[in-house]
Formats: sequence, C-alpha cells, structure tokens
Amino acid sequence: MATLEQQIKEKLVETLGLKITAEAIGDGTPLFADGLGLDSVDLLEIAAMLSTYFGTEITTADSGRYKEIFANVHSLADFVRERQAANA
Amino acid sequence: MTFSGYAADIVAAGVVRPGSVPVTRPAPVGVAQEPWSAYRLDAATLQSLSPPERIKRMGRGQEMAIGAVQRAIDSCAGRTDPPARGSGTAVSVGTAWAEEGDEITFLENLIKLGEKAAKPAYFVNSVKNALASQLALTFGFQGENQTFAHDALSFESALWQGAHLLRAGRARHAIVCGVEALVEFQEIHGHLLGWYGTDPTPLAPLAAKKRAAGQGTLPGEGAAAFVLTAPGIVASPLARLAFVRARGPLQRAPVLSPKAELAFVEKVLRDSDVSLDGVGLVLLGANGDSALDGIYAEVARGLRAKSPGLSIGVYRHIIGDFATASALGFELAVRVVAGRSVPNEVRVVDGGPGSFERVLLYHVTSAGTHSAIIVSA
Amino acid sequence: MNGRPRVVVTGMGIVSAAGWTLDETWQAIATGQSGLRTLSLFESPRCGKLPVGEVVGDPQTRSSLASGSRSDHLAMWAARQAYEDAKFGTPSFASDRGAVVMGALTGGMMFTEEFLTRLHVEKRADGQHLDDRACCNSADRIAEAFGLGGFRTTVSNACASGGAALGLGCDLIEAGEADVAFAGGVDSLNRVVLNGFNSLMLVSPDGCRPFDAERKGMSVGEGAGVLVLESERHALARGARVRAWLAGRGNTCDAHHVSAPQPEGRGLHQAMRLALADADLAPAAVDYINAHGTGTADNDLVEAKAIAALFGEASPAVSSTKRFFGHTLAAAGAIEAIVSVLALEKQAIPPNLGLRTVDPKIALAPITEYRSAKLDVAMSTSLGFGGNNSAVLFRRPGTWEAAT
Repeated sequence: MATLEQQIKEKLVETLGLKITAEAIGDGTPLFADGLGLDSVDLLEIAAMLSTYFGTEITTADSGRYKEIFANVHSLADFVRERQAANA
Repeated sequence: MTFSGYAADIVAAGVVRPGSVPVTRPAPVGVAQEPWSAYRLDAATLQSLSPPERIKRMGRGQEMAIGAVQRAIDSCAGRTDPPARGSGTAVSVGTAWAEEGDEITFLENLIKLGEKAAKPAYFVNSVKNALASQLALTFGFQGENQTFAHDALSFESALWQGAHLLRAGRARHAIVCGVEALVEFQEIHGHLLGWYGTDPTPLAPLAAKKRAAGQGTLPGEGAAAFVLTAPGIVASPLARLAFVRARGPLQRAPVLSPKAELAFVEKVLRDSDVSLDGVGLVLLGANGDSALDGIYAEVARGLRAKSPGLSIGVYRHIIGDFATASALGFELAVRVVAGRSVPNEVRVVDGGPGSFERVLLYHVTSAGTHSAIIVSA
Repeated sequence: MNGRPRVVVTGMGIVSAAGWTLDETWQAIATGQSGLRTLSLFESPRCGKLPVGEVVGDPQTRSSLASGSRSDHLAMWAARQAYEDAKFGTPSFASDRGAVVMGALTGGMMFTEEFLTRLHVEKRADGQHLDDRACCNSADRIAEAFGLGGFRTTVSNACASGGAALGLGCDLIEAGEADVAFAGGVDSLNRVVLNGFNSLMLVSPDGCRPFDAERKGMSVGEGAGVLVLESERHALARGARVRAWLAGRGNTCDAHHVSAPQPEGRGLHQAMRLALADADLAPAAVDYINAHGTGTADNDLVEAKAIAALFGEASPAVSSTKRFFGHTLAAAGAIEAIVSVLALEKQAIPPNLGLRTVDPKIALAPITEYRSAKLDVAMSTSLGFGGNNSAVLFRRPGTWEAAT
C-alpha cells in the first residue's frame, strides 16, 4: 500500500500535468520557487486536488499557514493526516 | 485611392506544421462509430515544442505559439535585429478556439467530479488570451497584447492590427501569429455540424477527383508567427505585407456566389493599386470540400481569364482546414516571395511553377467569410 | 492636433444587473442601488450563495433574435439601443464603412456545458446549439442586424477586452478603414466562469467592496455595452449628436504572471500614460477615473499604486462602480466606458458603492456618495488575466473645437 506521500506525489503529477515522474519528487523537495517552480495558481490546484482525492479542505481560515502547509509533499501529507485525525 | 495604412515589412517567420497526411483515431465514445481523421502534429514536433526543462504543463496551443515565435526569432540571427523584450514589441494573436482543450477539461471535471474539483489552472488557461499572454511572459514582450477570436477572420484581424500599430508608431516590432490547436471537442463540433467527413484520404483541393458530397473537409492544426516592422526600417525584409482585407457575411448561412467572390478580389486589387497582371501566384485556401471547391474553381477561372499568366496554388492538402490556416498559407506566400521559388508545400494546380514577386492569398468559407492578403517582394 | 481624425461617441447601449437601459443604469447609480443578487440562472451547489451581477429577465425577449446564446441576446439588445441612440437617418452609413468590434470571452459557453453534461450523464451526443457556441457570434449578429459590412472582429483579452475593443474601433476610424464602428463587449454567466473564479479564491461571499479594508474579492457579473464610434467629420456631416470625444487610449501587457498583476501596477501606469499622451493631455487634466476596482486584494492595491504613481498628490476623483454591475468580464470595459461618458453628461460622479473603510495600504479616497462635479475629462481603466491593461479617455462636448 503506497504511503500517503507517494499517493500525493502521483496526484500532483497527474493533476498539474507535470513532466516528471512521481519518483523524481522528493518528500522534501520545495514545491515553489527553487524546487518544482510552482506558482500561486498551482497552489489552488493542489488545494482542489486535496479536496477531491484526499477529502481535505483548505479554507481561507488556513491562509496564515499556506507557506507551511504547501512547502513540500511531506508537509502536505502531514496536513492531510492532521485533518483526518481532527475529523476522526 | 490610397488604402488605409496597414502595409508592413515581414522580417522573420516561423511555423509549426502538422504531419502532412491525416491521422485516424477512434471517434469519442457515444458520439460516432466510424473513426475520425485529422492532420495532427506528429510526435517529433510535439516533443520539440515541450523542452524537458519546462516541468509544468502548458497548453498545446501555447506550446505551438511559443514554438512558432521561437523559430521566427531564431531565424533573425545574423540577418536582422530580433524583437526586443519590453514595451517596444507588441503581440497580436489570431485564434478561433485558443486553449479550448483546457476549458473542456475544466468543464468535464465539474460535471464528473462536482464543483469542488474545479481546476483553477485550467480555468486561467481557458481564457482566450492565454496564448498571447504566455508569449508575453516567455519572451518578455510588454507592448500591446491582443487576441482575436473570430473564426476565419482571426488571423487577418491580427495581421491588420499588428501592421496598423506599427505605422502608428506604437511599437518597433509586432509579433503576429495565427494558431489553432486541435482538440477532440472541436472534432466533435465539426463532425456534428457536418463540416468534417469520415473519408481518411488526404484533402485534394481543386483536384479532378473530388471528395464525395457530404464528406466535407478534414480538420488540422498549426501555428505560424511573423515578426513585422513598419515599412522602410529594416534594410532587407523577407517580404512586404501590401494589403489585407477580411469580411464577414451580412446574413447567416448565405448562398455563395462566385461572381461576388470575384468582385471582392478585384476590389482588393483596385484598392491596393495592384493589377492582376502584377500578381504572379494566387494561393487559394481551398479545403477540398466539394461544394466550396466549385466556388474556388470558378474564381480561379475568372481570374485566369483576365490574366492568363496567373498561376494558381493550394496548400490545405497538407495541413488540413482550420480557422487560422491562412496564417500557414501566409508563411508559404512569404517563402515564395523571399525565395523567388515555390516551396514543396504548395501544390500548383494551374499555370505552372515559377519565380513570383507577388502572391495574392484568397480564402472563402462556407459560412461566407472571405479574405484577401497581398504579399510582395 | 496631429491630423488624426477625431473619434466621437454618437450612440450607446447597455444592459446589466443594474438595468436594461442607460436611464435605468444611471438611476441605479444615482440612488446607490446595487444590482448584485442571488444566482438564479442555474444551480450551483458550491457557488449558489455568492452574490452575482445577474441580469433580471430574459434577454431573448429584447434581442429580436430567434436563436442564439445568452451573450448574443444581451449584445444585440445593447447594440440596438446604441443604433437607435445614434439616430442614423437614411442613408445611415456605407455598409463597407461600418465596422463591428466586440470584446467577448464566454459566448455560448452554456451550450458547451449542456452538450458535455448530456454526453457524460445521458450518454448521448446532441449537436443542437453547437453553432451558437463561439464567442464571435455576437459580433456577427450585430453586423447582420445593422448592415455593418466592413471590418469585423472579436477581441478576447480577458477582462480588458471591452477597453481594447474601443481602442480598435478608434484605430479603424483613424486609419480610414471605417467611418462608423460599433464597439463594445459582452459576457454572460455560466458555471465555468463562476466556478473558475471561485476556484481561484477570488470571489467575495458578500459582494465586492472595491478598495475596502475588508474586501473579500470580486462578484461575477454579466451584461453588454455597445458604443457607436464615428469619425467627427462623418458625425457632423449628418448632424449627429456627439456624446463625447474618445480622445485617448493605451494598452499594455505586464508580462509578469498568467493571472496576477505586476505588483507595482507598472503596466497599468504605462497604459494610463499612453492614453494621456494619445490625448495630448497632462495627468492634471483628468477629472474622474472609473477604476477597474474588482474588489480583489491584488487588483485594488495594484490599481491604487498605479494611480498614485501617475497622479501623485493631484489624484482625480476615483470610484469603482463594480458593486452596481458585478465584474462583467469582457463587457466591463465597455459598460464602464459608458458610465464614464454618462458621468461627463450628467456632471456627476458615480459612487464607489460598497466601500466602508478604505484599505490603509491604498492611498486613494474613492468617492462614496453620488454628487455633482465639474467634469471635463474622464478615464476608464481595465485590467485582465495575462497582464492586459487598458485605459480609455473621454472628453465632454464643448471642451474642444469641432473639426470643420
């Protein structure tokens, strides 16, 4: 069973149409700036992806934590786990 | 009579062409049984438009526009100053459907997965100026940026406007493009409206053997980009844009009249102060549709009757039919005039090949839009 | 003057959530009546509660078109008003010298939605209405209805389309390509634009509040605006009433980001500068700016910076009228140009409805109350996705000497 990080990577590649494989994305690879070079619109795509495929909603209430949540795949996975625990 | 000031010099051109024979694919499930054919970009071309360092996806229309502009810019090397970053370079793009594939993906997501699955990047890309703004972003062009989305008038609008703003002194260079990326939804659109048929053989405009009635034409895709300057600034342009006029019909679904079409062409010649004898080659946008072929044949006949030395050529047999295909025709016309010879992509159907100094491009659609462009040495 | 033919406005037509006519629109503006309301045009589980600038009533009842998209009906109604407002006699204008330039984004997007929904849900392909999908159809219908056989095109520069269309109308007349140009913009509500902007987290749950400290985004709207542009010579020769002189315009591209504006507003600043240079006027000559002011965090901040940078201390009266109409996308530039011309005629400033407290980061003091003012020069600005910026400048009749 693939880890949450692995699933997130696959969905990232699929929904953003990235030209690299999921394997090429490190857990800690920065998503923005010097890492994958994603931008503010991609951030919203990722938010939509988390909602659609991982049942995790990001709202404007979380906006103070965007930098932290969207830093890399690992932080995305942590956020999903955090929300799942809160909803359990 | 002096015509309105839209003459310009063409200093560079770049083109992205589809494969020269139609490629057949299964029709979308639930829409049709017989497979559908179209002139599509081949794998090698697609690969070349998508450099590995560009990790993020870009729409195919955007990649094609960038590819064509890059080729035009590359061709400036050693010959002329390339268009500069900044406000001195304007961008005018003609595209009937822009990045419609992304709009369809956005919609399908809404329908299949619900509104929570709305994909913002695809929405941003589905706005029609996504191609023109990507050109500005990629090349740093900050001058006027316009997108014209009016069916078979799109490229001609961009050409007129690009030339006009140069003469008005509002830019030093104008990048003018015609682009169309074929997506499945447009094939659906065209097949259901009866424009396209299922005959998979290449188009043969004005050939003796016609497509069967009802077999229509086949769609294609492509991009052509041109760097224009105001007349007289560059010492040796490739060619000169002498005149462009494009008009739409005054009623929906008009009956086409070869006499009226001939009159349109003759008025263009009068208004541009060009005699028919001064035209060497007439390049027709004929798309192989049997009904439309008849109109083109009569117009060609009428023109040759007045000027027997005219040669007549066609070009949609190897790129297919699409709203901005005249941009690729224009690129061929520039090559004819610049090289004083006829490239292989042009099929001369009457009058024979030769060295031509002036080309008249003429296009008419079954919807009744028509256009004429004159390119000279 | 530099010898270019003057382009004047001789007719206008409008439709939006704020009203079906010029009079209804100005009535709403003068009484502070917002046109934003609850969505009723279609169902939207996620966006249904967002206030939208939806036109009330069926546009097809006024378009005199037997078929077409909602955009077509809105555009035709606006064009008919403009045509009648211009009071063309017989003969009106040479067909080949009459042009149409419309800004449009959505066209018949609803028909695309319906087709795909039927295909995916009912598994059947129904080609009905596919020929009414294209955004260029509105311009075609207008050309057919009013015998405009000259230059024709559709400009699609996202939210800056309307302004660009007016600019191209001017180009055509100045180049001698046309004597008359019907220029404007149209767009209609549908699931794509509503969900599109919402997915970008740009839409306010309580209606747009341009320049407000608590602003939460834009409100999506629909509508159409059409202006009859004419060479002054042609207008005077037929004794037309001139509503304004379209004295200057400027268009630029930020080349910064696909959807976010350049943070210092440099592109818009340059567009406004170009419009002033085009009109041969100094910044101090501008009396009123109808700002794009969508109510989003980015747009309003950027626009305020551009205005402050260009006008400095001597900032003209500014207001955004988007809470009256919503953001009408490709129609915005045209609708707001019409509002600017009406402001010059009525000698009154449309208020920046919805503004309670100006964002402290915004160095503007938008006018919040409808009031009389001496206005000779008005400017309308628009910004769009892809970094497109447009500025159009109008002068009130009586403030220049007509060409003889």
